Amino acid sequence: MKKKILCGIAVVTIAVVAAFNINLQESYELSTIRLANIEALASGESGGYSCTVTRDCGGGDSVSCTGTSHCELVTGPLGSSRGRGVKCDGKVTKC
Amino acid sequence: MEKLLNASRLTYNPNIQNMISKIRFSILISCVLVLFNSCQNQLPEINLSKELSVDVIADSIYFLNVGCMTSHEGEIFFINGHEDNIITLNEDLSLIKIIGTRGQGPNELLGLNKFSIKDSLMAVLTGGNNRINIFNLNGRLLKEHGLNNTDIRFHSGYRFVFNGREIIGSSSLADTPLTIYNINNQRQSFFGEKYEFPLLSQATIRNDRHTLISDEGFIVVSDNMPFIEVYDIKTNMLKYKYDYSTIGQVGRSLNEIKNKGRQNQGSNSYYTLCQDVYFADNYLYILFANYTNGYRVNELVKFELTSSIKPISILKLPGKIYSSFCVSKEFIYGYNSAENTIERFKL
Repeated sequence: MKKKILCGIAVVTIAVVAAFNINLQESYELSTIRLANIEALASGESGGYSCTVTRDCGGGDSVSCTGTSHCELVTGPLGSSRGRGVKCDGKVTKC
Repeated sequence: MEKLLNASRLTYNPNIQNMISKIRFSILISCVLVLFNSCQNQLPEINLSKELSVDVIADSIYFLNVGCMTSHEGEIFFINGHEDNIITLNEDLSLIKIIGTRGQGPNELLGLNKFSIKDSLMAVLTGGNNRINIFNLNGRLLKEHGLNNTDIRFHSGYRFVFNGREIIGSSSLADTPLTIYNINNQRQSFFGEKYEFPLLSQATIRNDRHTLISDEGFIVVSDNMPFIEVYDIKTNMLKYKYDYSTIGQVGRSLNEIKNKGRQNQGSNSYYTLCQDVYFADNYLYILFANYTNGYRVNELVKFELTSSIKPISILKLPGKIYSSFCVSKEFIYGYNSAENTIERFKL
């Protein structure tokens, strides 16, 4: 009898926890899909945005990157070309 | 006793035992998952709606690469990279004045990076001219401090503090990441705790930080690590350090950064987490990059910062990418770099 009660409690606990986790998972996936669609539509309307930025590092060297949202130059220390670089969609690449 | 043993052997069923052990394992895993979920602090999200927006002022001044937005006594200051000058707007986003003109000559600015205001003075770092310029807030140049023949180490790409005679900010040196430079006597000292990385090249490029000031001390925020540090103003010793990766929204973005880093991170590159920071009225705001659904930079984490650091909420801006922002008593101002607009939101 005790075992049956324990089993019952265990099953109910698992069901509650599983339902909680599935609920979280579903809402996350739905929002992901929704945002992905909005991004795809916006991309379709604008013909697909992309940007490229290049930084001359001196001595014939350079760094560049390409992004689909935002590109910019990154500054470095005063008085030095070291530490300068480029940034595309959040990724920084230094000279 | 013998009967009892026999009875237990009779009731022993390997299938039931197997099922019970599976149930126990499931309960254990579920408890671990619930605990893990509760450890990540999911902050309440507040959607801010745009009240005002401008993309051109005085009929012909457009914005590009706006940075270092600063609210000071009812005026909004920011660098306009399009013209290499500093623009001042009132709270209704109308032009008040323009400070500086582009050029390499005396009194001119080139490659404006960051500025900082103390009372009626403004220190401006210009990477193109390699100078520190001191203006009054009416736009009159008071002092031009050239750094061409000096060995000064100061990173011009991060917010810094100006106290009237010294600039305090990122040094660009990994071992001593923060520095104080006295403009009057040209003395420089270093402090700060280093972040360790497996590669030396990563330690070199990932130890720079934004520096702000509060009554508690210097507030220091990395652009790529989820840390807020507070250093004592007098001793320059680390008072405390806060890891904000425990905030659910930030933690998920960091997981994406880890996944991206495994795929395509070179030794000379990294992903930014913090785009910009601002401190106002005992609250610290961090504009962080969210990589979970593509790349978005439109969420501010708001922290209460008194004798400790307490995350309060996430403020969501309506645009997709913002590169700088500031906070006044009533409003938040942001530069929407996808639209090239300055926007105002009710706080």
